[in-house]
Amino acid sequence: MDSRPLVRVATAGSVDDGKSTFLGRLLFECGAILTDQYEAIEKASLQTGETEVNLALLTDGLRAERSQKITIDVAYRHFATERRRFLLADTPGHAQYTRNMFTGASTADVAILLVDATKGPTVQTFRHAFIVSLLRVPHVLILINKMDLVAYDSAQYEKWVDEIRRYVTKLEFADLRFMPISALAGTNLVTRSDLMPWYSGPSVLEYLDSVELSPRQTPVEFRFPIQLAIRPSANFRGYAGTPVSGSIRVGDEVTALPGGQNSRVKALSTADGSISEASTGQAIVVELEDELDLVRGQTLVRSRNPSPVTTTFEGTVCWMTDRVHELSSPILVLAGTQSQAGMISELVYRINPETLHREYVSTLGLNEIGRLVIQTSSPLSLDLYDRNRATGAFLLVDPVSNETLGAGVVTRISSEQVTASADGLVLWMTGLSGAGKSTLAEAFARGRAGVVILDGDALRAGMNSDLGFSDADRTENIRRVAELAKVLAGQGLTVVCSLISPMRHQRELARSIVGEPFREVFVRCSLETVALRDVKGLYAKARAGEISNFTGITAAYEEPEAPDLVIDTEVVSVSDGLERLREAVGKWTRKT
Amino acid sequence: MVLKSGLEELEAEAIYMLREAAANFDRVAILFSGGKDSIVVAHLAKRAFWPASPPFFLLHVDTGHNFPETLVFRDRFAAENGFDLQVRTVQASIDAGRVQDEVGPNASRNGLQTVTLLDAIAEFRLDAAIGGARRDEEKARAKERFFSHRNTFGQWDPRNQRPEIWRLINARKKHGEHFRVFPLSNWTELDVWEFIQKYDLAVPDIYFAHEREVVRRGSVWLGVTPFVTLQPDDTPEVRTVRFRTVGDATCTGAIDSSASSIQEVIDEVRASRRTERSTRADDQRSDAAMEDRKLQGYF
Repeated sequence: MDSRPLVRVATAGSVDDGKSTFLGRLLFECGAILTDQYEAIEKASLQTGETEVNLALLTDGLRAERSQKITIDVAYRHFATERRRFLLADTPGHAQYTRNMFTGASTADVAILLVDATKGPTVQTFRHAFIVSLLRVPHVLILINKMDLVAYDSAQYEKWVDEIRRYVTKLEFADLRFMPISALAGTNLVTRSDLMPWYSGPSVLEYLDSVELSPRQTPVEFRFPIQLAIRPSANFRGYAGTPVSGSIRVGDEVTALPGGQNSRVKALSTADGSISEASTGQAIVVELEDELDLVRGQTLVRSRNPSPVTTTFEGTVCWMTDRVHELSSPILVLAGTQSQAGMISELVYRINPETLHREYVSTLGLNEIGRLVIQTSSPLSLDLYDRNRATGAFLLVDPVSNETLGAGVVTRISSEQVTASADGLVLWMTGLSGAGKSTLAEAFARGRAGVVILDGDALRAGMNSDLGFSDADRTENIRRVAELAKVLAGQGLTVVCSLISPMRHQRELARSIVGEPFREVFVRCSLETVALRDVKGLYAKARAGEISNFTGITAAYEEPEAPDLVIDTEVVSVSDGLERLREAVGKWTRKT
Repeated sequence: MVLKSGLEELEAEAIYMLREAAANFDRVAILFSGGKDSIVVAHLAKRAFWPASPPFFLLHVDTGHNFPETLVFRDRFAAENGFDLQVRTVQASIDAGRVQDEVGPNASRNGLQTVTLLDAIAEFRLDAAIGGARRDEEKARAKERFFSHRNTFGQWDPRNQRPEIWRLINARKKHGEHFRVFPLSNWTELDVWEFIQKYDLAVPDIYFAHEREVVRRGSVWLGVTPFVTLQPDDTPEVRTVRFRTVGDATCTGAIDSSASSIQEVIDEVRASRRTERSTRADDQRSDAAMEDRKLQGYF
């Protein structure tokens, strides 16, 4: 009987990095390419006019892949050494197939990325590193390939390693290693080569054979998602499933989440009979001492070590469809064996995986990665992905088309109830014309459900077109906007009012109308700077006397004395300002 | 932590998938040919739901060109293991004018099975059909998911498959659509034999070395049966052979072998330098033969 353990390896890279040559060579050296497979790809290579046997055809199994000479979907291949068996998921490198790389890497123990030594890391390298870090693949190996083309020069190798290291300092890796190889020449693939005496580490195969396999699930918390109840007769009630982490013994106290029913383990069994203890990855049936009517979707945990149960959580999600999804339209959240109706209540930001910058957008496109806030109609039992790769992962599914919209990792679980939707909020943005009120308001509203903007200029064009710029008219303008904001906030909306509102008494009037949900946000910028920016050309006109009663030039602006938030646009960028605004709103909308 | 063996992990993975199939669907059949892979699937199903019976029945799409030993085995297996067995025949599809037999020396009913299979799926209103296909068999199968969605025409869309991330399965479907479920996706031919050895399962005799009258077709030996039309230059001979796969007799080739026990088969597979599908004439028709058949709804 073969007792070798199975190690799951994912590779990413493109033909240009020599990935196919690498894989072909690795499989060939391990005897994993059989005669008829070799003959078949030899034939196919000749048919497509290639002069050498194209080993990429081994893994690129679809017609479209072979004709375009790219990897589109994940292909699975087996190879083995004396000690271990490997299940290789060969994933595409191109940005437009990021979702497929996400798929292949999600279950990997080891991820292998390839870099061309003649060119160094590309944006693609950084994107792959970001994804394997996000998915917390336990071991990451970066191969600097084609060392033969740079004369096996250690300086060149170190240069690329340094460059990648600088990028990855911002990412999290449990175990990251680099290795110089030449897939074409077979250098450092199976055995260590003399050509690079300056490299003292193992060869690729030595590494794969010896890498310490952290237990598939590092966490010790017992988590047992119930797949289904087994009831062959009235006197047997068991729950079938596989512990995704931790272990359990007969007699242990357990709790079912969500739901909170408590009991003790009466018996554990497989088809071979009863067992006293079950651990991660074993397909078992659990019987409990009490007659509880537990159902699929509930997770058994140790009573002393439960998982959080929540209706609101944040996740980093890879979007997997090109369909535009409107925030707050219905979605299904699948997590473990749970399936719950919900919605995306906020798109916090999109992450540029190549620069790691946050970008503020209104929707996520295919293969894009972003931070979302998700709310569900009933509670889910979840763990942070950092703690548990199995119970901290989820899918988002379109309940109408059944399409998988995205897959994500849980990054934050809200223990407090989000009350914004119940209470509403009025953000009163005051500041000089050109200070950045509207820019911030629009950026804030983008990617967030339940936000309305009341813009002073826009309202003056219609609802308030009867008003001028005298002190009395300005006050009336503010009164009307405040009344409208109050009505909207009363219906649970977050209302962003973007008005110069120059005088303290005007803002006090607004505060007294709106009441508790009112927050004063001072968008500060000096007169010199706004006049210099002069986006609308108004300051020039005011100075030339073409506009009368212009705040800052011919009318006063009274700075707030104790605003709830100050965003100084002279000092901070729009995205930093937005970050501060979001943070503040987060605080204001959560009950303590 | 003590790492489990690869086979133990694959067994647990397959049971997880079978339980997901039962939890997500109402009407499910195991596609059962009497071949080694479907024997393993049926046996895993018994283990997955123990002490209850598997909520699946067995469905065989019979080309009418099967080896008689396999059919005897099939009926006995179902009876002994308490499975309901349903058989639908390609001949009935031909009689109903749904399909036409191929003609010529290499004629096979293998491809015709697709229509019979899709008709059976409609007849039983199946939500899912479970198969024993493995990713290591063939390069198009290497691209398969555990839960593979089929549209209302039974077709596969390999370029737009649902991503299977972690072990989260999106098994939602619309009326008239169905899933193919492949619990053995990550198994190899060797894993299948080691499982058979571990649980001491019976398999049809044609998997072991026996004397048979055969004729050379391309790179494989075809058994001489009433379904194979001999050509003038064919020279049948009696050889000691065994079959690595069991399918339609017109396209399933035998190999020279003296392996007469499970252990000897395991040793032979371990030493083999050719894949098991190399004995299948249906896969040798073109480079993308399997992908093309799968697109239409084949297994």
